[in-house]
Amino acid sequence: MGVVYYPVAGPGELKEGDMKPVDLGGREILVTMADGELFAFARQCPHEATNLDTAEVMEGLKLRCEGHNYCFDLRTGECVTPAGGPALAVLPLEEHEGKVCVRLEW
Amino acid sequence: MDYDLLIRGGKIIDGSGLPGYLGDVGVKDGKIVELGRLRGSAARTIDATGLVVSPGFVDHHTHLDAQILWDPYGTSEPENGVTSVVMGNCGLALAPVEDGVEEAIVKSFVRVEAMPREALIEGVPWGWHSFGEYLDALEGKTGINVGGLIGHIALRQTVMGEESVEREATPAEVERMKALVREGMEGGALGISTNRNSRHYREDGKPVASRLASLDELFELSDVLAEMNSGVIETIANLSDEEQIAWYDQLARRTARPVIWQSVLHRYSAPDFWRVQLEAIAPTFRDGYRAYGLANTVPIYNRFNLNNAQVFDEWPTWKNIMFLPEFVRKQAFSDPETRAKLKAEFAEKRYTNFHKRWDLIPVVEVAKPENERYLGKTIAELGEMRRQDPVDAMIDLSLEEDLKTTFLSANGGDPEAMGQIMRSPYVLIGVSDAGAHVQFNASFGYSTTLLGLHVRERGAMPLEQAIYKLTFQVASVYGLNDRGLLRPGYAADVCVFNPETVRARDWEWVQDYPANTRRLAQKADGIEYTIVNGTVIYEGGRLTGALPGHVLRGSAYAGRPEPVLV
Repeated sequence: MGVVYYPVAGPGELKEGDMKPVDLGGREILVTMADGELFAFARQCPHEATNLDTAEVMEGLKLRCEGHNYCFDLRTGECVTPAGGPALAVLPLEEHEGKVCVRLEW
Repeated sequence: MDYDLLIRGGKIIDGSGLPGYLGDVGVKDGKIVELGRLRGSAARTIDATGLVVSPGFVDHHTHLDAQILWDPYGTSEPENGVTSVVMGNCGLALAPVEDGVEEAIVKSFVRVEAMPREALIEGVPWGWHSFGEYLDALEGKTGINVGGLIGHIALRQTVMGEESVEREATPAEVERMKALVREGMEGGALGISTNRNSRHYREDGKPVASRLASLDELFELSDVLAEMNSGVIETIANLSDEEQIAWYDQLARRTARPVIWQSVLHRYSAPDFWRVQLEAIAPTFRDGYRAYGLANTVPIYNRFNLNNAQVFDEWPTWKNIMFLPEFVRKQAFSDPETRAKLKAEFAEKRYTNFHKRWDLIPVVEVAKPENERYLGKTIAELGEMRRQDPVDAMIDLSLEEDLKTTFLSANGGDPEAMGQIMRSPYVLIGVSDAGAHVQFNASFGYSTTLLGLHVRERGAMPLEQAIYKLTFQVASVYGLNDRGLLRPGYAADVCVFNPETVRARDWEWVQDYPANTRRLAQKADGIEYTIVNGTVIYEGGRLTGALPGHVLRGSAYAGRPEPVLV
C-alpha cells in the first residue's frame, strides 16, 4: 500500500486544448486542459486501443475518440456513448511540491 | 480456342452449398461456359491441382466509395479472394450530391469512418450529381466489380442542406428524397443505406444527417424500393439494442425487401445477447420476410502484459497500480496486503466489461525458456499447474519474467458462439469495413479468416457452407443475379485457393493513399488466383494491372440516358 505523486506538468505549462503525452514508466497518459481545468487519462482508448492524441474534447467535457467515436466523461471516465461501454482510465491530478502530479494510491 | 481460360483439376466448390467435386472450369468472354472434365483448347490454362476453385467472394460491407476512385482494386480485396464489393453502407455514400454539399459529405466520412480528410480532398474528383453518374464514373476503371447503395446522409444533405443535421424533413422534402432514390435505383443502385447510430457524428460534432430522420421518413424512402421491387435496405443503429429489431421487422414486412442490420456478435459481457437477437428476428423469417443480421468472422483480440494492460482499469486499485512506474508496480504486486486487495476487487459482484474468465485467456508469450511449458495454457490452467489461485499465478509468473509474460484476451468471440452465429441462415457474414477506419484497423481478411480459422482450424462449418456464405448467399440477397455461383452463364468471378494454407495475415502499414497518407492493409496466405470476369487480377502474390471489373447495377437499372441531339 502506498501513494506516488508523478509530476506531469509545470504550473501554467498547459494551455486550453493542449494534449501532452506523458510516459509514467510503463503506461502512457495524456494531460489536457479543458474549460480551464486539467485532466489526465490513459493514452489508449479502452474500446480498441486507438491512440487518443487526436481525440477531441467536446461540449460538456466529453472526450471523443477518433477511432469509433466512443465518448467519455473527462471527469469520471464513464463511457457516455455508447452508454455502458468500457470506461476510460482517468487519473487524479494534484499540485505537489510545486508541480502538477498524478496521484496514484494503492 | 474453345476457352479463353481453363482452370484445370481443382476441387470445384460452386457456391451453392453442394459438396465439392473435382473438375475443370472453362471460361470464355468473361463468362463460365462449361464445368466438368473438359478437353477443349484454351488460350491459358491454370493448374489447380490440390486447390479449391470457388466463386470470387462478395464483400458486401465496404466503405470503398472514395478509395476505389484512386485504387481500382480496393486493395487488399483481391488478395483475400474478393471479386465484387458493395459500397455506400451505413448511410455513407458519395452520391447523390448537389454542388456545395460535397464538404458536408466529407465531414461525415472523415468522422464516422475515420478516413484521412486530406486523402478525401485530394483523391475524390467530384463532378457527378446523381447516384447513377457516380457509378458511371467508375465504369471501366476498376479491377474488381463494384456496386453501391444510395446513402441516406447524402440524400438528406442534398435535399435539406445544413438543416438536415438539425431537424426532421418536411413532407415535401421527403418527396424530393424519394425522387432521388428512384433516380438512383434507375441509375443502378443496389439499394439504400441509413445510419441511426447515436455514436455517429460529423467532423464538426453534429450528428450525421440520417440520425435526424424519423422512422416514417426512412420507411417512405424504403417504400420506393418496394414499388420498384428492387434493392436492399442496409442499416446501422445502436449495436446492442434489442428493441431495434422491431423496426427491422416492420421494415422487412412493409417493403418485402431484404433488410440488413448490424450486428450479431458474441460478447463475454453479454454472452447470450446474440441468441436473444436471433430469436427475436426468427419470426420475421418464419413469416416469409427477410431481415439479416450482420456478423463478423474476426474476434477482437487484445494482447496484454502486466506492463501495459488496460483490461483491469475497471477496478480502482488495479487501475492505479497499472499506471505506476514499473519498479514501483513490481513492489506493489509483491506486497501481500496489496495482492489481497487486488483479488478482493475481482471478487466484487458487479457488472464489468472485462469478463474475468481466466479459462479464456491464454499465455501467448513468455520471456524465459523454462516457462515455455505455459505457452498456450490459460490463466486458469496456469493456476492448476502452479497450484495457485489463477490471479496469483498470473501475477507471480509475470513478476518472475519482469512483467513481460504476454496474455491474449478477447471481449467476445467465443468459438462455439461464433460458429453458431455464422451458421445461422438469418446471418450474413461480412463487415470488412474496407476503406474505413483505415488508420486504426483493417479487416479485409474476413473471408480468409473464415476459411482458415473457422473452417480449417475450428471446424465451425463445412467448406462448402463457408463458400456459400461468402458468395451465393450474399449475391442472392443483393440481387447480383449472375454472380456468386460457378455455373454456365454466370460471370467468371473465381477464387482459386489452397484450403490447407489459406489464412488472413496480420495488418500492415502501407503508404498508398492520396496526400501521402498511410493506412492499414491486410493480405492473406493461400489465395493463388483471383479472377474477375474471366481475367486474372491477382496471382503469385501480385496484382496484374488488368481492370476487368464491372459496375454492378441493380435490377431497376434503366440504362444510361441517350444523349439528346438538339
